[in-house]
Formats: sequence, C-alpha cells, structure tokens
Amino acid sequence: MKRWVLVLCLQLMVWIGYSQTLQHYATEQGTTFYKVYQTKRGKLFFGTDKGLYTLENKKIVRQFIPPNLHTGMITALFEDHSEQLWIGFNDGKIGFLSKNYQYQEWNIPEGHPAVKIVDIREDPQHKMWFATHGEGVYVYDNQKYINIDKDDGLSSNDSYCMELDPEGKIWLGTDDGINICTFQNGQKHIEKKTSDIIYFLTYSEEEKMMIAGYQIGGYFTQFFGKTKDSGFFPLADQEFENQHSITFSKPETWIATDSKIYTTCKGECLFTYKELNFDLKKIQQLYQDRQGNFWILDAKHKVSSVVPLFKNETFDTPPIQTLDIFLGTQNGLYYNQLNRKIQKVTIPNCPNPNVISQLDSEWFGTFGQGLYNFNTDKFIKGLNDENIFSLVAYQDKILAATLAGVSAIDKQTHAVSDFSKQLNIKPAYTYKLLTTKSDSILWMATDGLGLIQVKNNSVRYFNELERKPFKTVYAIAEDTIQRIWISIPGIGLAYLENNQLLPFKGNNAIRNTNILSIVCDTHNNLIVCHDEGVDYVLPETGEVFPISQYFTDFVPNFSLNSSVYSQDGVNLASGNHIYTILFDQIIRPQIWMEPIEIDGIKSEVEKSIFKYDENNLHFKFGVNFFNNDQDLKLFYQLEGYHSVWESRNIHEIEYANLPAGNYTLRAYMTKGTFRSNVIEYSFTIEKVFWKKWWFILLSALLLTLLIYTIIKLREKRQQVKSEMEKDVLNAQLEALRSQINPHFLFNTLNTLVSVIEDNPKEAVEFVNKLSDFFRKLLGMRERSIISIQEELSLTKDYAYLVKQRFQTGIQINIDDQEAFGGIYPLTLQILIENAIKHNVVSTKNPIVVDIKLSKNQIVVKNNKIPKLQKEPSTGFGLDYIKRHYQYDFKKEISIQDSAEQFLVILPVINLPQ
Amino acid sequence: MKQSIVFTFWAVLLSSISCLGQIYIGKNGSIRFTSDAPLELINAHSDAASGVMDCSKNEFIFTVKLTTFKGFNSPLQQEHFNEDYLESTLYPTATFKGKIIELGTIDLQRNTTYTVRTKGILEIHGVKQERIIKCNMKIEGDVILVEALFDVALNDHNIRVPKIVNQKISEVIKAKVSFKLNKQV
Repeated sequence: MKRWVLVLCLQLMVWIGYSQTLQHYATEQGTTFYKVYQTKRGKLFFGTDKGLYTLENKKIVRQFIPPNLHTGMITALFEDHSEQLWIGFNDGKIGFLSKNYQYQEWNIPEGHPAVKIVDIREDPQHKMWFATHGEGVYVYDNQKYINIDKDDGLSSNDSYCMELDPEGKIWLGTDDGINICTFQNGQKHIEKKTSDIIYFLTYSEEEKMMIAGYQIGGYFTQFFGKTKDSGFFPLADQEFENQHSITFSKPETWIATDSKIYTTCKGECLFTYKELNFDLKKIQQLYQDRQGNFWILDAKHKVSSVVPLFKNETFDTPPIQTLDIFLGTQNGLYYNQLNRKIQKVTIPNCPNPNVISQLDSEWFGTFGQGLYNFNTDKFIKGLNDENIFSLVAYQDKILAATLAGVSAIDKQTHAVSDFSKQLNIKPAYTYKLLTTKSDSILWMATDGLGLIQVKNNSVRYFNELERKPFKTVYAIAEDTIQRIWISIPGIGLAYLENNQLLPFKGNNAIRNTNILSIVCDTHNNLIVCHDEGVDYVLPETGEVFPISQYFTDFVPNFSLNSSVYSQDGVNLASGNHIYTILFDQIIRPQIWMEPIEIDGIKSEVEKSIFKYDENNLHFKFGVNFFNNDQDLKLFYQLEGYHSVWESRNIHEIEYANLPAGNYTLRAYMTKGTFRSNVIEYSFTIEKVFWKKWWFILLSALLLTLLIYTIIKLREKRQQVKSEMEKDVLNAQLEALRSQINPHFLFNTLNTLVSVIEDNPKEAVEFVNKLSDFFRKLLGMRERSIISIQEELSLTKDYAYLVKQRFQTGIQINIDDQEAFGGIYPLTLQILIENAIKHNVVSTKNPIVVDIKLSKNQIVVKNNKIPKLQKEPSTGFGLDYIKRHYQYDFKKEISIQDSAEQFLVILPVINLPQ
Repeated sequence: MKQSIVFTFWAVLLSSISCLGQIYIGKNGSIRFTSDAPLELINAHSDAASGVMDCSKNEFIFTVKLTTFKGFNSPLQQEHFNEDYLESTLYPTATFKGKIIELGTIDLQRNTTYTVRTKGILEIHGVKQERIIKCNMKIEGDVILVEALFDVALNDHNIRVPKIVNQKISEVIKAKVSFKLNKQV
C-alpha cells in the first residue's frame, strides 16, 4: 500500500526535476563485475571474473580469495544465518568466507556441480540450496547432498534465479517457468507455475509479494493470507525490449533491461515505468543495498551507484505517531485520535461552543465566545473581537486571528495586547495565521489586506497575483519544502516562490475556487476543502482528484480551518460528521462488494452458502476514488466456473444457473493505470436435496426394502401354491381311495349280486354305469376345473350307483336346468358322499339330496338324520373344497349347518375360454 | 522378488544390446569395503559384481550378491556379516542404479580419463538412499574402467550392529568399486 504513496512522491520529483547521476567507482582494468551483494554487517562484496572484491574507502579492491585459488567467475553470493558468505562460481565450484573473512573451499565427497552456480539460498531449516544452470538444483542439509533435476520433475535443468518465499519454499526460475520446491524427510516436492523464461525472482517483504521477471516483463503474486494463491498479475503496463534482468526494489521499483534502467515515475501509477537517462552497456546486475542506494554493474562503467530519489522519505520510515487531535466544529469541540472513537469535549459554562480553531490541548478559539484556556477553564477577556478564526504560537505569545485584527496573549500571564496595532496593521478580518517551521516567519490571511508577512517586526503585504490585485486570502499552508500555499477566493491556489506569488496551474480542475482550508501532507500534496467537498491536489502535475465522494453522506459544509493534519492522515469536520482520511486509503482505490442479488432480490453479503435454486447471482461492486464510470474496467474471475480473468466496463456481474459447487469470486477495478485491491469472496451453492447423500441413502434403503418385501410375498405365494398342489394330490388320492374303497367296492358288488339275481338286464346296466363312472372319474381327476355338464353326468352315474344300493333310502334330486360355467371336479360327488357318510340311511326316513343349479350358484342341500356314532373324518371333503375355492378361484362357498338341514352354496366358476 | 526385478532389468537390457551400440557390460567387477574401527580393521571383497551401463539412455546399474564377499578376518565374521548385519537371505543383493550427471561432457571415442558424478539410488539392506557418487572413468577403446570410492553409513541403511561389537565395526564403511566394462557390439 505504501507504494501508492510512493507514486505521489515520484510525482513531486517531476517538479523538482531529475537530478540523478551515477557515481562511478575506480576498478582494475579488464575486470568483469558480475554480482554485488551486501552482508548484514553492511559490507559490499563484488563477484568478478578475477575473484572477490569489496568496497573500501570508495575504492573497489580485491580481497580474501588468494589469486592462486579459483580462476572462475563468481556468479553467486549469499550470506547464511551464521554470517558465512557463500560464493558460487561459474565452473560449479563453491566456497565460503567465514565470519572473520577467512576463505575456504567447500569440499564434499560428492563433488561440485560441473556447471554455473546461478544462485544460493538458505531455507528455514538451514538447508543450503544451490541453483545451477544445467544440473537443476542441489540441496545440502549438513549430511546429505541431493540433486533435484528434470528426472525428479523439474521443468528444466537450466535455472536463472532462486528465491525463498515466506512459507519456506524455494522458488526456482527456470527457462520453462517457476518451480516451487521443498525437500523434507527425503521427499522432493515440486510445484510448477507458468512457462516463461524466468530471469529474476525477488520477494518483497514490505509488499508481501513474489515478483518474477521474464523475457519482456514481470508479474507478481501476493502472499496475503488467503489470497496467496491468487495468481499472477502483470507488474507493468508496458513491455521491455531485450530484458534480461529485472529488479524490484524499494522504495522505488527499478527494472533493468540489457542496457537500460526503468523506474516508476511521472506519477500516474506503479504500473507505469519511465526510462532513466543513464548511459549503460550490458547490465549484469541491478542491486539495492540496505541504505537504499542502487548499484549497477555494467560493461561500460563496471561499478556505479546511484542514490534513490526518495531515500529519506520512505526508507527511514518515521515511527507513526498517534497525535491527539481536537476538532473544532460549530457544535462544539471534539477530541479524537486517528482511527479511534471521537468524543465530544465538554467545556464548562459553554455547552455548544462554535470552536473553529485550536492550538494545542490548552487553547481553543471559538466563534462568538472568544479564546478559551483549558487549563484554567476560563475564557480570556479583552481580545480585539470574540470571534476567533485561527490561533498560532508566535515567539512567547499566542496569536488569535479575529474579525478585528490579531490579538496577542502572553502564554504565562495571559495578558492580552493588540498585535495588529503594534505593527500598524489595520484591524481587518483575519482568517488564518501561520508561523513557518524553519524561520518562524508569521503569515496572516486577511480579508481586505491580502496576505501579510511579518518578519522581524517588519510587515510586507502581498496583494497582487500576476499583476492582478486581490484583497482576500482564506487559507495558508506550508509544505515540507518550505513553500507557502495560499487560497484566494475566485482564483484558487497560489504559491510563493522567491517572494513572488504564482498561481497554481491546476486551478481549473479544482471544483470550487473558494478554498476555505488547505492541508499539506508529507509528500507535499495538498488536501483542500471547499463548498463542493474535498479535493486532493498534486502540485507538480497539476492533477486534482476529488475524494469526498468516498464519503457517501458527505455534507459539503466545511468550516474554516476545521481540517487537522497528522502523519497518518487528515481529519475533516463536516456538518455533524468527522471524517478521517488515511493517506493510504485516499490514494489506493478500494473496491468492495455491494449486497448480492439473488434472482433479483437483495441478500446480505455475509451469506456464503446458497440453496440449489439460489443460483442466479448478481454481484455488484462499489469503488471509491473514481468519480465517473468512464474507462473504468472491472476484472473478475470465478474460480470453479471460469479461471480466466475477464473484464468489462460495468461494475456488475451476473451469473445465471450456476451449477452446485464451491466458488471463489475475485475482482479488481482499474481506471487507466490505477488499479484497486483484489477482493475475494468464496461461496457455495448447495446440491439439490435429491442429490444429497442422505436422500440417496434413504431412497436406496426404501428401494431395498420394497424389493425385499416383494420377494418375500412372492415366496409366500409360492409356498401357498405348492401347499395347494399338495392338497390337490391328497384329495385326488383320497377320492380315488374312496372310489376303490373296499366298502364302496364291497357294497357296490353286493348290490350287483342282488341285481343279477333279480334282474339280469338291470345288472348289465349297472355294470355299464359303474364302468362309465370309473372312466369319467379317471378322465376328470387330473383337471382343476371342469364344466358343470361334465360334473352333472358324473354325479348322475354316481347317483344311480348309490340309488341301486340304498334303493328308496336315498333321493337325489338334480334340478337339471341348462347351466353354464365350471366347477371343481368331484365337488358334487364329495357332497353326496358326505351326506351318506354323516347320516343314517333308511327307507322310512330317506336322505334327500337336492342339487339346484342356477346361473350364478349351485345349491346342494340335504336333510339331517345324524348317526349316533360319528364316522371318523379324514379332514378332507368339504374343507378341501372350501380351500380350493378360496385359493384357486378366490371365491367363497357358503355352508349353512342347521339342525334340520345341511346346505352348501357353491359359486359358479367362469370357464376359461 | 527383488532379485527377479533385477533379472528382468538385466534381461531387458541384454535383449536390446543388438540394436544399441552404447551398452557396456562388466562382469567380475570388484567391490572392496573397509571397516576401520578402533579395535579391528576388516577388509572384505567380492569379485562377482556385475554392471550394465547404457550410455544412450544415460542409465546404469551395478549389483553384487552379498554372499560373494570374501576375505573376512574369520569365518564367524562372514557369518555375522551375512546373517546378522546385512540379512543376505532377505536382501541378497546390493545395487546402485542411476545416471551420470555430466554425461554430456564425456566423449566415448577418446581414450582419456574423466571424473564424473553419478546420481542414483543406493540400495543396501533393503533401504534405498539417493546418493551422488563421484567416480573415475578411464576410456580405453571399447573398454571403460570405472572406479569409485564412497562411504556407506550403517545408520543410513538401517544396519544394526550390536553394542558389544561396535568397537570392532566402524559406523561408516568405506567402499571401493572397480569395474571393467566392455562395449557390446
């Protein structure tokens, strides 16, 4: 962020003019300087083709390595944690200089690489890394010496540079991209990034970014917490021809190509570079030492150094002071420390003083009530006027600017005198007093007399600007280079140079020329307040940036002198509000997210999990600093959807029907060469519930249960069926058995004997019927259903046989209507048999079996003359018929068993077609 | 199992001999190791090591059966070497397989001597260690004489020596390898 401030510094330098010149150092003839490195103790070492050189009393002298050792060129220098300086040579040899500058060749049994050592680094575990051009990289952990090359997954064996990142990983710049390597517990791990020829890698602690330089430019990646893998961003908006080395240094960023040096300058932005006017040839290295000086090694001048433009400004960062700040407003006095809560100061006997000036924590000037001393809690009486605009310490007095000239108050005695009168200045409205820091000259901004300078009690009036008279000055400010800035209503800003007032060239750009207040920051830029708000003014370029639209509820109503300046920023009072502008934030454009719209309805930004149907998202971004949308560009990337950065001219993005998943939205805005921060927003779109695991599991369970039930039911049915089949077989067996039952046969044969005796003709008939009956019986037994006709013909045969035996003891009446439909075979026969079985047969009281056929049912009825001794039942018969009707035909037979009669109603079964 | 892998490797290499003229094979290579402990100096050597070097693919393998080591101070010592320290039945061979880092600088047609570094996996006692080993290569027509001196730390290969004898066996064993490799035509 500080870089944005730097940009402003650079702008100022344009005004001062470039005065940079190279300082060359005398060196031995014919020596090629290849590498420069500064140790922690501050000593500068130079690696050359003739050995190691150091800087001693502004002379570059050869030291430490005896001339008989190592003739190779020194190509790498690095100081480890124990202050040993490791030296890498062009031929692959490695040596080191101990803490007390004793040189030693580093000999290990594994031998040295046979190629150039390009760089040396030490990782947090004190492992030494040696990057080579041709054999990959070597790691030494005090025991083992390991090589990592293309066979281990490196992009290329030819590396150019190496750097350590804050996570302790080694970044290797090869001719096929960046390789991020670690070596831990014998495991080599390599991560590949990009595919350019990487000539330079440098990590900036201040910016927390790794910068990589490739053929025609550079890019960087940031290490800010979550955004560390945010990808690479271009470092410059331009390309560099024949660039072979790139150096990113602080406070200024310098880039070296083959023979030229570029630096960030001319204000616009970090991403714009300007060529520096140095005459160089074949640059080997550009290096910045700990004091901030740049060192350039080239073929023409060998060793040169140059002082950066803003060495003192930013390199020795002053400790940030938290000043107590008092803000005078029309509604009283407020006390505030930057970035802290603002409190109202209660002044006894004066609830809402219109405080518009303040000197220190002791003195306050009010508009209407006069001067107030906080130590004594009293208003000072006897001033020229009770309306005070401004207070200043001058010599041993406090000066108060009032509507009737300037009053002087003794700091000790609080005695009041008329300062204006003492200097013969007319009692005019005095808006602002200023004493310069360096020479304590007093300046007065008056209404009517113009600008007044008081120097050693002599008074000088400034009331002409470019030969045009002016009478009124609203505000005065002094910048750090002792320039006096004033504001003249109707004209704008003017400044004093060589006692000559000159107008500010950018006055046209200031939105309102009635500037009520001027504050100057440490970079000599001005913050001006006027009725339209606040503008940020860059004096050397004449550029003006309106900044007050940053405050959404800004009320353009600044009191005179109500801005208070500190090193961190500016406090502004406006209406009922006090605003703190930190310098960083003024300059760096900030982008933020407006509430997200889901299907056109606003939602909170904090929301990061969306339901499956909340997938039409509309992102809107807000941005400060840019006051209009022209040439504003939004760059955005939605990780998980499109990883390519896209850009558009409106600051809204709409995504429709995003599939479920995890996303990260990143965005930044640019306007011209200005670039905002990158914001990041991660969110998740949930899966539809039927795609969630629990639903799938539940469905699977239910399905399994269903299949299981069906199988079980089928099994049960199968079981019942097989039982039935068994029953059928049993019944058939039983029927057969009953037919050839010895009794039946015996009875039938007995009957036959008697018939033969009585009526031989009848006997023939009887035998015919009997054989008929058996034939039919045999034919029917196998079938599960037969027609009623067939059953009736069998029953009639049976009835004939039975009648022959019992004669009048039994009557079988068949209601022989035409009946259609089917019946279970032998049903009627079984029922007749039952009737005979359970009842006493006698001619006196015959058994009457009535079989009545109708369209839907067959009714079998017999009267009851129960036997005294019951026949043993086999359990078949009726029960068997009942079950068959139930299972095979799903029909119920009805049995009515009363004292007089036994009645069975059989439903008629439809015959299959 | 490991042996069979080695044999497969051999078989593949040997089968490709006819089509590639860059293969060098050496049998009866000599490996000598020295344990220079305070109480005892042990020298043992094997002349049954073999090696294959494929210069076109830049890969080589040298292997030795541990049971072929002779010249111990006593038969008991040899028994300990095979059964207790190196467990030769479990891990019958020691191998070094890898590549030459500076192969590009070697001219096989010139009769001269090179010092090169090899990078590979040294497997002893079933423990693999990545090593860089310096060696001398002397080219004499179709013959390459390879000689290397290197250290093997017992600890690196999980070789446990009982406390009672650690005054007799050095923690670091010095190994000297020399091979005569013949070009296969």
